[in-house]
Amino acid sequence: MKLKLLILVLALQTAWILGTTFVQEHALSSGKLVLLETRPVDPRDLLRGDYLTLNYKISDVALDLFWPPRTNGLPPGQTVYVALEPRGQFHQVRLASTKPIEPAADYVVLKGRTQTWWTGNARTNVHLAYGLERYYVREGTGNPRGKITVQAAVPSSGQARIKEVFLDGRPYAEAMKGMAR
Amino acid sequence: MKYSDIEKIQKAGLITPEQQRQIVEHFKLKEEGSKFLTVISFVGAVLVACGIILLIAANWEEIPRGVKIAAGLLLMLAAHGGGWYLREVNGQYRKSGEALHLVGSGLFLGNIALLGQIYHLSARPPDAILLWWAGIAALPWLLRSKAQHILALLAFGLWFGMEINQQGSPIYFGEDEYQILLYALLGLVYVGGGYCLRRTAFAEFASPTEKLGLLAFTAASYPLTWGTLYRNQAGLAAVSTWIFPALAALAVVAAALGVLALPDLSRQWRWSWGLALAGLVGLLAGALYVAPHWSVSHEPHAAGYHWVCAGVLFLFCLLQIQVGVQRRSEFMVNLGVAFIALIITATYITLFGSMARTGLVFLGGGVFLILFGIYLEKKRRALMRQMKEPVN
Repeated sequence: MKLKLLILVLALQTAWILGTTFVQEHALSSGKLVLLETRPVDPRDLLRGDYLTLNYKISDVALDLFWPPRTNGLPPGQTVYVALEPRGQFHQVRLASTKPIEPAADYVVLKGRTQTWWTGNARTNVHLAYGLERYYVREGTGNPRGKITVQAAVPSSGQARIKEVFLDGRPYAEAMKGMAR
Repeated sequence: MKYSDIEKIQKAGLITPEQQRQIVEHFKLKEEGSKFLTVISFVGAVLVACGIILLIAANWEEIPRGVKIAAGLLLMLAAHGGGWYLREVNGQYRKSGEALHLVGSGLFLGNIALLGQIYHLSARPPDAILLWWAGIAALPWLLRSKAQHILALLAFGLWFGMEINQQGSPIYFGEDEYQILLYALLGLVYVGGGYCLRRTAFAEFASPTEKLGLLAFTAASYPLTWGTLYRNQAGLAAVSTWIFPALAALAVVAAALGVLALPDLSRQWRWSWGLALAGLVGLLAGALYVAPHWSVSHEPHAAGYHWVCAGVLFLFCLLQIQVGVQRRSEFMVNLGVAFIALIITATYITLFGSMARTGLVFLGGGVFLILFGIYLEKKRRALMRQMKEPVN
């Protein structure tokens, strides 16, 4: 009985690991791809190692892009849906709302959460986190010089995943090869 | 008196096995032989788990992600499999088996971190720890393992700490020092939980739960004696208003249910100890609801609430030492003595002011600390001797 219960617990742990792997792989392979502009910094996570903190242009959404229109900010932790449309090389914010936006052919919808932020104007902008803010890199390669762009896969749920990060147009790992500190 | 001596006396036929059992139980003697193996095994388990987590953190991009996930999963299952074999099948290396199960539980966290790293998941870090806790929460009861139980308590505490710091969380409590009040209450919930466990089939989990809880409770209450605590009142508006009263109520109920049924305390001591714990909850509530409005000068921390806290905590520690003597708990006595010394040190430092006043405080306080240190150590040794004497 005890062994059976232990097997059940381990099966649940294994199911979560495999289930998460499947969900993430499915989202990466089936989501619509968008290219985003960023500005990185270089911290470290105790468990997962070096990472880039990515701050996107689409992270700050002007209040006048909200529908229905807003005159004041939102409390931290509020879910916001953001429609992105391609403008030139990158995707930019077309519309934002606290209510779900239906995806369409000419734009994709990302789901984000409001955060308090130490830069930007809280009276004219809302700062959002999309779950795309960390990119884990090989130890010692979290100090890039150059322009960083992110290719994200956006599934129908709106919860985007980072598919690839480019440094001056080259895949990050390839661009940083041999540059570990 | 050692366990091995009693064993030798029994083997010589001077006492019966039943008498041996009674002596061992009365003096709470433990087998010394397995202690070394236990320490070595658990240090090894912690090192292995840390090593694997650091290897994950190094993030080797040359290894395909499928291989990384499979390796993480297999290592975790192998650790539990090996642990099961050593504890239940072989049966000779139970502590080593327990250590391997501990590695397995650490590797579940490692696997969560690995998936977060591979797929760059960054939303709500507390969720990863909650998931880890949920994944390992059943193991202590299933494996009857104290080590797993302590790990689960620590994991829950870690999640709680991260959650109350997470903006947007229903229990977000601001990013200032006030969150120590919640840690103290969580400690008291553990203490009460430990007391309640004494009456269940899992009585062996009671002692570590009580010790961890009392340590957290006392350590988190201690900063209340510092004069500089009450300074970040501006952040109070955005915090959860219900978590403190809810946790305080839970802590009082858990402590009351547990204390009133403690078998090793007389009725009078049970009431005294229970009321002392409830009084400390009142002190914590005062720090949150009364102290910020209790201003007698321009400086917010000069209101003097920390003097009340220092006095109350000092008395609480004295009572804790007495309860420790009653319960024959070295841990309670040592913890009480250590915190009395810390409270006096904090009070001494808080008294620093002008050069003249500081000079006098240095002189008076220094002499007092030296003498008090000697007295405290003498008292502690006497209490330890008293506890080790057999009960008439």
